[in-house]
Amino acid sequence: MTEWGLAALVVWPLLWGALTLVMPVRWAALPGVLGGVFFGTWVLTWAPQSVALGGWLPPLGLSWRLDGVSQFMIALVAWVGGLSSLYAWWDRSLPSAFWGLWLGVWAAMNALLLTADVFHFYVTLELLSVAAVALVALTPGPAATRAAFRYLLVSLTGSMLFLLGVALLYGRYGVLDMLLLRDAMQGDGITALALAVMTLGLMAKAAVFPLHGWLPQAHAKAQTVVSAVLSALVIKAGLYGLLRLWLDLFAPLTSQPDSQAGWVLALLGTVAIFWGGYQAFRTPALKPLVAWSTVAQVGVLVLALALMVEATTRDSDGLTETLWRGWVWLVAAHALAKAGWFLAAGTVQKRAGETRLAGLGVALQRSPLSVFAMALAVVSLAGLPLSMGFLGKWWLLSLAWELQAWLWLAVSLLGSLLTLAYGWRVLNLGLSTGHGAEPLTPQAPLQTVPTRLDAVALILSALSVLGALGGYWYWEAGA
Amino acid sequence: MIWLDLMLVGLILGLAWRCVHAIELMEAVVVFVALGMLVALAWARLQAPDAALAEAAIGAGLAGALLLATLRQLPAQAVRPQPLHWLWWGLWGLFGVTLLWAIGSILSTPVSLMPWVNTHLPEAGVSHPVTAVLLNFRALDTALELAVLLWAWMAQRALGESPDTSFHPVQGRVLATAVKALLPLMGLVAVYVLWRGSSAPGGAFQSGAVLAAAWLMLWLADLPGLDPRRWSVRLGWLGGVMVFFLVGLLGLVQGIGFMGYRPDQATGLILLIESAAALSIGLLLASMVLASLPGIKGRRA
Amino acid sequence: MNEVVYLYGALGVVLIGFYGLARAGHVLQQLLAVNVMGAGVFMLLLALATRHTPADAVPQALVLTGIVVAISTLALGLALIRRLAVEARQAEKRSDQEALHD
Repeated sequence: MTEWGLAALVVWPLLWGALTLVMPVRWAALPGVLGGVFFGTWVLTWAPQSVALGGWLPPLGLSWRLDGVSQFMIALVAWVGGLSSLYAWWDRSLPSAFWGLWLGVWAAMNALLLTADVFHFYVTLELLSVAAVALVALTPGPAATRAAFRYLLVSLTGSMLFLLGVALLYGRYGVLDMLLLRDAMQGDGITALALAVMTLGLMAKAAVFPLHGWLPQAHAKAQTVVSAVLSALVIKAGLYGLLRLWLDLFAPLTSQPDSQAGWVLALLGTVAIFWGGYQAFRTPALKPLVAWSTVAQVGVLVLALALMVEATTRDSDGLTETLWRGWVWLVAAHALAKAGWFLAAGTVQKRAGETRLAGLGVALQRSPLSVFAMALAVVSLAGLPLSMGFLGKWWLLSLAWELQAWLWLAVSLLGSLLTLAYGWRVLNLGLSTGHGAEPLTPQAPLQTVPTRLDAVALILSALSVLGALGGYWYWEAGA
Repeated sequence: MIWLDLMLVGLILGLAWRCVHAIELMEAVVVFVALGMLVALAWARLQAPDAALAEAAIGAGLAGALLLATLRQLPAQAVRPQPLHWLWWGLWGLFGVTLLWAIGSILSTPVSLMPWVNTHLPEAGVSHPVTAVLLNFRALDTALELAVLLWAWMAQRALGESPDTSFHPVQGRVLATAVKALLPLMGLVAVYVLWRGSSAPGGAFQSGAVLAAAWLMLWLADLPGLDPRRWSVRLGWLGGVMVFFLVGLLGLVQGIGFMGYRPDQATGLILLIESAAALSIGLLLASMVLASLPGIKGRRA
Repeated sequence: MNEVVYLYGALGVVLIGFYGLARAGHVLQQLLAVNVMGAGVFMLLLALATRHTPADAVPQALVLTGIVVAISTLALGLALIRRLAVEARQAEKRSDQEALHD
């Protein structure tokens, strides 16, 4: 039965997405989204398993592997994607082409999270890129087109680097299945080179510093709901790939006690935290601020990966349940908070007909739900106590503590402070009564934007805080 | 024969260099298409006739059509190359040296998946190994790749391009008659290439490329063929993906597993998928080229 | 033996593609450079396949898949480039009109 479910995770959104070309779009989108949420939730009840597609066992055939990481990530896509779809459903300014492309993104994400074959991973990456780039280009105007093109170019280059790594792995080991590769893995030069080029390719897709240049434009110029799903979910595809490479596929290489490669990741993550935070602090407009915050948060997730790699070099258990559960938790907290923040920010900008922070004051004060949503998102992203992000941060800090990596411990704390700082720029405007630090410029009349859009943003942000309530169950299940 | 290979590789490298160094865009495009043809030749030398055929038809032919159509819509402007920092050169050199050195270590590593392919080929339903891999052993790769093509077309439509608006194709009775005479022949070729794919080089991709050419001719001669308001055309776009996945689900019903075939039905089902895929590939590629043509059709603002 | 020529040739094409991507002065040339790089990677796969006799069919199938993916992404990239050109023309027209009104 679960094989039906696994197939549905990919086939369902893909077929309904394709049907948007021949049916009234919303008639195809509704079952596509509902089914996606349903199957993506159901997946949590299935036992971890491998499925050889078509009955052909690797190395000949492709296989799917459902494990804890992919299970929770698929569910995350379903929930954040489902709520974002609700926003899109009510957002009248969204072109109808959104739905087919978005269902394509969804199917590609699920396929990517399931596959255990490095070449198939490449194909899913490309499907994801094509659909995601087109989503960015839904915004009319040269700025969005340029951002979309840049995104496409970086994405294509990343894919090519990844494929180069796949070719090297095939040349060295003659197999493409991740588990078989891991078992055959040797610590030689060509394997290290394959790891390097594949990492580089995925870093470009995940916008890891210094390959982040395309992100602020692409995420800021996109339609609101597109920004939300790109920042919350699509970025995570690259990060998930990095997790698979460093802690699974290449684990025999990366977990050698003298391996120092993890520190390169840690360093890049650190620079991303500070650079992204700094840019978010000084950018003049709201959505770019949120986009730069994504650059910083990607840094946090990469830093976490680096600490996990370091942990596996010190004890031989490999990718333990505590490790991956912590990382997935952090990813989930970020995805929920970032989706909520972007949706709230976009709603406020729509209301104001304006993007600069300085001109948003009145719109912010007339959008209490959105301001509340942004406040909760900042709370969770900064990891303030009692939020879902707090548990993630706590896990990260205790990991650094165990490793006695004081420097990285300090970095993650400073990252939280930076998040509060740039978050406060927005909240200050929304909470002040008109004579705040930044003067309110004269306003054009506000656009009417339905309050239910603010409400969807608030639900996502609230989940990024209240998710902490699920912490006991999540962590205990892992222990 | 080593001289032939050396010459071919030398030419390929020279053209690749020329392509990235071209001062005019037109030159870059023309060199790129020529490069595609030579690369196809090289692949034929590498005992990969399937890939060579596909590259010549799609990688050089249709890509060339798309590139030239785009080029006509770009304002003439000089290409100003970016200056490169010495640090960049250092990294590039390091990367190159590492790559060349690394490949040296696997020049004769005896790894291959061919023994597995050969073992299971009798159960695959087709006797040509490449088709067996594409349509059976790694069927999901191929299904998702059709999805990539479909979504690229969806993206092009989302960007406001579509072949549906009024156009002024090349008129003329002679052309129309010639096309009418040629079409059955091209159809026949497409069917033959498809059929041949089960036992020899050929298959859905190459057949799809032939069909794309046929559709382009239909349209150029102003014969009805590609109006996306027609249901048949719209269904044709998705047909490949739909049929592929529905057959994949049939495998689940039959207990073989997702994307699997019962061995006695494999030949028929693969042929069914390939026919739908070839039609879709042909329609999608032709639609992409048509939608890209400049000045012939109105463009939605 | 002959495949060694193609192996190193393929790497050369990849490196040239990389170089072209970095130096390209026009969006179209950037797109071409990525595709040159792709052709190199495909050739690498095919050359690696010929280390076995007969040549390994799996990489050949992968390359066929890759070719269709490559034309899809190329088509999308070109569509974006065309839209850039259209929008540039519109912007020009608008600024001309504004100049007339001034």
